[in-house]
Amino acid sequence: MFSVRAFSRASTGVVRFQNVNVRLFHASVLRAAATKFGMPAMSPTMDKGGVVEWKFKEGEAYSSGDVLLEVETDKAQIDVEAQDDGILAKILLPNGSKDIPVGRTIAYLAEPEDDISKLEFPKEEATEAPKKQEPKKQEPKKPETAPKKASKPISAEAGIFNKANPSQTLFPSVSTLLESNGISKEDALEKIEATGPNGRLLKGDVLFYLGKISKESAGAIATYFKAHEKLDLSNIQGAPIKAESSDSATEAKSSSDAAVPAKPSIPEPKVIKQSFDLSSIVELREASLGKVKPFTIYEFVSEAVKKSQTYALQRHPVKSDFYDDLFEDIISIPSRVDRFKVNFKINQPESKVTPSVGQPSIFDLLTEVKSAPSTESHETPTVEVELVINEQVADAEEKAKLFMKKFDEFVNVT
Amino acid sequence: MLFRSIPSQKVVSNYAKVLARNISTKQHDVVVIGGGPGGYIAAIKAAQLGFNTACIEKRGALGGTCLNVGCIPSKSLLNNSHLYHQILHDTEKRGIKVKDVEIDIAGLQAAKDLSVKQLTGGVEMLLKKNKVTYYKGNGSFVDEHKIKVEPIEEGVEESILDAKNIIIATGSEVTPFPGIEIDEQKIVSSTGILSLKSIPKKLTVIGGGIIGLEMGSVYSRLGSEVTVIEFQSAVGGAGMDGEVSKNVQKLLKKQGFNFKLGTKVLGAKVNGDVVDIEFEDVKSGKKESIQSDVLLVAVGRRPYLKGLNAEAIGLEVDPKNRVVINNKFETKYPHIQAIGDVTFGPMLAHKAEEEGVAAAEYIKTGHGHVNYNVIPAVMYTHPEVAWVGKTEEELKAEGIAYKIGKFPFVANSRAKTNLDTEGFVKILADKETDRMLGAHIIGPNAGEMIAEAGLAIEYGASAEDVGRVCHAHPTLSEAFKEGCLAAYDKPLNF
Ligand SMILES: Cc1cc2nc3c(=O)[nH]c(=O)nc-3n(C[C@H](O)[C@H](O)[C@H](O)COP(=O)(O)OP(=O)(O)OC[C@H]3O[C@@H](n4cnc5c(N)ncnc54)[C@H](O)[C@@H]3O)c2cc1C
Repeated sequence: MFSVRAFSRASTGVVRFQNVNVRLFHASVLRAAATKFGMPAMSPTMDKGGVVEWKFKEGEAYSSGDVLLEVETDKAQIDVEAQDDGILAKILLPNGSKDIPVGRTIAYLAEPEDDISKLEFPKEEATEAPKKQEPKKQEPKKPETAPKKASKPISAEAGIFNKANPSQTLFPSVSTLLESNGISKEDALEKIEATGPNGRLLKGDVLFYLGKISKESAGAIATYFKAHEKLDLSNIQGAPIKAESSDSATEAKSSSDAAVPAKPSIPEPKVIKQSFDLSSIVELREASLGKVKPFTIYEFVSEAVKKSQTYALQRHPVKSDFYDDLFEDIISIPSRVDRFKVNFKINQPESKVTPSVGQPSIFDLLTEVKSAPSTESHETPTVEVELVINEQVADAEEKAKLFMKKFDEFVNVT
Repeated sequence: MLFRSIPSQKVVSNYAKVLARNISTKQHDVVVIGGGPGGYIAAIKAAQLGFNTACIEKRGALGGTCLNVGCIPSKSLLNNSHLYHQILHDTEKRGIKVKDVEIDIAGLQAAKDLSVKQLTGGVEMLLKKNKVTYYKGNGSFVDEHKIKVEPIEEGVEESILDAKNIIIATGSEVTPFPGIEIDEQKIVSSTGILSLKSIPKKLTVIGGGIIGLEMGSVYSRLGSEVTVIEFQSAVGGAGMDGEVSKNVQKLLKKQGFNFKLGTKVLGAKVNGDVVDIEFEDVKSGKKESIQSDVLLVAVGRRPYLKGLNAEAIGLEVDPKNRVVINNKFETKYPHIQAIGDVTFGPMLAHKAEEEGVAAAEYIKTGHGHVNYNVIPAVMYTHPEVAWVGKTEEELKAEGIAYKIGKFPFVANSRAKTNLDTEGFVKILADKETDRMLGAHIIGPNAGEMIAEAGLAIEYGASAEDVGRVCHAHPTLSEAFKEGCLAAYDKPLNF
């Protein structure tokens, strides 16, 4: 018997295909008869292919594992490997033949011991139906008890019974059954036909091999699964889609989940207010006199507002080792969206009004230095900050709180 | 006065804007319309296969129905309402005393919104990472290769995409109930029920399918009196195994659900603060009515093709508006595929995702894999309900002889220790070959456990094969193993 294995050069793994074409004839006739070797299907969707190159000459013997020929499909060039020993008896379609339908006989093969000079070649039908030519279930009934001679596998029933995939790990039920019946794994993979996906041996396959259940039972369930593998798209009444009718327009209301959500009405803004003590800034100003460019309280506060705002908008409120800033950047609302508006008002005791332009006079500075440590509460300069929150933005309040926190750090330098 | 207003900083316009402004016609190998689980997965896969890929989404956020108004927000509410319910009713017998438990519906919604935001943002990151161009806008056909994108953001120009391949993944929308107008305040769809601002005293649900029972559960736990009206004589929808459905109904009834099965809703109207719902018994024709604070209409979903201008290319749909495809998801144009809720098969997120991957693979290699024998379904009530493969009803209809293996969670040590023992595992296996045909679970964590059944069925395993696999002790999954043992032999712990 012959079977052909193919592997794609491109991939590292060996891809095996069930070969449906080669087992049509075998040496069961009186004289040695050649076996048709059909154009192999290298993928389920391949329907045509070409012969790139035969790797053996007519009459040459090959062994299992040898690359017999190279086949090309519209996607790739693939080596076809022989799984058994044999002789390449006759080449029908030479190197370079193209557009050969899958299943069309491209050569005759013979068993290793055959004398090819006496070989009988079967007649080639003019139009050979590829692939699905296997007859129905009408198999000669075998005695149910004896394990069938599996060296000549029963033809595949529309691809239901297949050669077992030799590289599989056996199911526990299968190995248990084999062991208790004294069958080796190698024997099982060689002799028992598989109904599972990708040539997997199932419990039912072994039960059938052991004569415990009928072939129909084993085949039926596999056929059933195969039938439901795909969506049932039979009996569909398709018609070109109609332009959106008026009734769909009225229904649009109810389908708000699929449509662009309508803009919600703008809610009353929420306001967060906080008052900050500015005495430490006054001190700071004194201490830094001469070291930095002189600044006014107003300038300082404005700058602190700007800096706190940048901080709040860029910073993500949660801090954690598992927190990915990059990821957070993508999922958060862009920083250009307005979260809140900042209003502030500086209250300073009358005597210490700091001019908002120009440099302070030495008098201002002197009085401030003196009064700072002994300031009474009502005399402390303060700033009232008011954040008007845009509640349409989910993280606005969080950001506003971050702002307050940062601002507090700026004005409470001690 | 020193009042002054400082505007927030304006940052450079975003990526999509720049892109759309500079280029009016853009070439792509694959254009996916719709950014739901079907669409965004198809886009990622296509990009990973080396195609220059674009994804168009008009919602403003990726993830589709599933992430925005479906699976994810509903599971957030289910999980947190369950927690609340447990703290309220199920702590004392565990030796935990809790005082003053209170539900804060705004907080509940905020937790939900955060999950949604993080997940949809995560999808956007995935598109970026895989170099998929993301167009925020409505995609519509100009001809069979050209798609117009009308941006949803202001200031962005329209663009035309010239696509070699197009995948339609526009999903589904709520099926309206004839004569009942959804205002999303008093009469809500599955979208409105996800963001109620207060807990209704009485909630009525039309439709006893998965969505209806899940949302009913949420509000029942939060204290609503829930009534489910269903036309069929069973709950759970068509896909649920009959025996499972009966048990689910019993369990939910115990939790306080009222069921009116075999009942046809005639109409509903908002009447001041309440909704008046009129219905009749299908058999006796007896008319009744009920008042409710909120009415949820959950009678199913239908394919969504609005705004797609599919008329321009004469796209074919069936009478239920599903896009007609072949087994490679191809429409009448081989280069235009349709996947997910907009076409045939169960309306589930994971089914849409599988199809997304397969569609991209079909474009690249001509093969793809989706096995419709193994599409699991889960209902996230408590206990959860999950199944994969065939139901008893389906097997009977097909004349397939089967064996049943059942194992109750009362006999499972982990369920016992957790004081959470409702439900059972039910395995259906072929009578002769023992091949697993279906698995049906009611029980704690059923949704996680069903993955094992999916694996078994995908590989053609028999009940024995799973029964012989060592499962950790003490786990709920041992019940699954025992169910398999029961199917081909005898359970050990029951
Ligand atoms: C309440 C609820 C709970 C659910 N729970 C679950 C669950 O637990 N498990 C589960 O598996 N499934 C669940 N589902 C179902 C699940 O959400 C859907 O099966 C899934 O979202 C379908 O994915 P999809 O990609 O086909 O379509 P969708 O998710 O609907 O995505 C389609 C997207 O395309 C966009 N779109 C449409 N037309 C255009 C256009 N012309 N241009 C641009 N964009 C367009 C839409 O805005 C939408 O975002 C639930 C559904 C609901 C409503």
